[in-house]
Amino acid sequence: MDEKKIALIPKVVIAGAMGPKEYGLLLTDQRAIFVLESASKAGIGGALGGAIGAVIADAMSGDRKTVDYLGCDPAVLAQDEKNMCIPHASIQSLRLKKSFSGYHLKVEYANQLGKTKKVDATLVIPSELAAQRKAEGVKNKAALEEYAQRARQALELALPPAVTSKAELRL
Amino acid sequence: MNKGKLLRGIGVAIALFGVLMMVYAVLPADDSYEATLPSGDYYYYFGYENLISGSIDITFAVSEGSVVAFVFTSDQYEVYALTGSADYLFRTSGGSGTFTFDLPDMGTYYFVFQHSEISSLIDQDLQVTATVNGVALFGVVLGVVIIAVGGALAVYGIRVMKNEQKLAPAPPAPSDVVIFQGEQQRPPTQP
Repeated sequence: MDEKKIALIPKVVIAGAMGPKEYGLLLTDQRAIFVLESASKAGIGGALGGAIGAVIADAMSGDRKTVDYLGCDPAVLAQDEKNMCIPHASIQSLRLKKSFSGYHLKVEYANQLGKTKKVDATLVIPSELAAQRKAEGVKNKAALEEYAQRARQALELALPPAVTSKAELRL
Repeated sequence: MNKGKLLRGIGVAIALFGVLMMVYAVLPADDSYEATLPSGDYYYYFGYENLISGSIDITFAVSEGSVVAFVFTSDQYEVYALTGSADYLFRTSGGSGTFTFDLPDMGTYYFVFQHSEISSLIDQDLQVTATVNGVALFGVVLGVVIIAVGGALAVYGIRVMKNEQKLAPAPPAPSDVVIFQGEQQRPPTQP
């Protein structure tokens, strides 16, 4: 059966051992695909140190994937090892919650080995949207709240009732 | 890989090579010399130039007999090469030995090994090891130049990349939450 793209949350950030990684979250009717957009490479420059390290880190931080979410095949994105794929059927719990540090999407799921894994993704408003809303006179905090609300709607639309019924999506 | 990325990669690699050159110019380096001093009025020499401060450790040994070791400036060496004797900065002798020569300033220094008076009638196999604990000016300058060239190339590559991105813009990244119209359907209910 063809996998249908339901929604896209364009920017979430997940903290990792090598620094924060920026993902686009593509929601299909079958799974959630965290598509890696850019990863921090500050560690490389830091290890080199000095002016040269700074130049190299600066040069590398220019790398940023641009994914054609509209035209791409979800299966292709799911196959990319850099991306993270969570089938809806494997989700054990899901929470979208506001905290002091922002809006967090916390997902617990069972991986292919049956082991429980956790993902804590922070919703980050894309800079273009933030700039646009600022120009329209909307404060950053309000713009982020709107972004989180739309993310919640996207999740409600994409996730099956079996997941949404036990999910915490109150903001 | 596009041209900008390639240039950036090459630039970074060249700059790293420059860093290695500088490290090599600063770290101690060992040189080994082997020669046979034929019987008669022969000597063996080697020189170092453009070292910024530091010292040179010399260890020498001959197969039999003894040699006399000198350290000359370039002017002193010219006189020695013409006449067979000259003022010197340092002198020692023996069948083997070790000494450290502290470089007084940046310049060219010659290390000369000649038969001692009683050994000039025999062939002598000479082995010398020199450990240079100085900063090689040429290596440092070359390293800086290479780093500058590599850095400039990397910066140029980044500019080319940005121009390439402007010329052939990638599909704009969505800046807000997107609901895919036309494909918007409720997913099948999970059992």
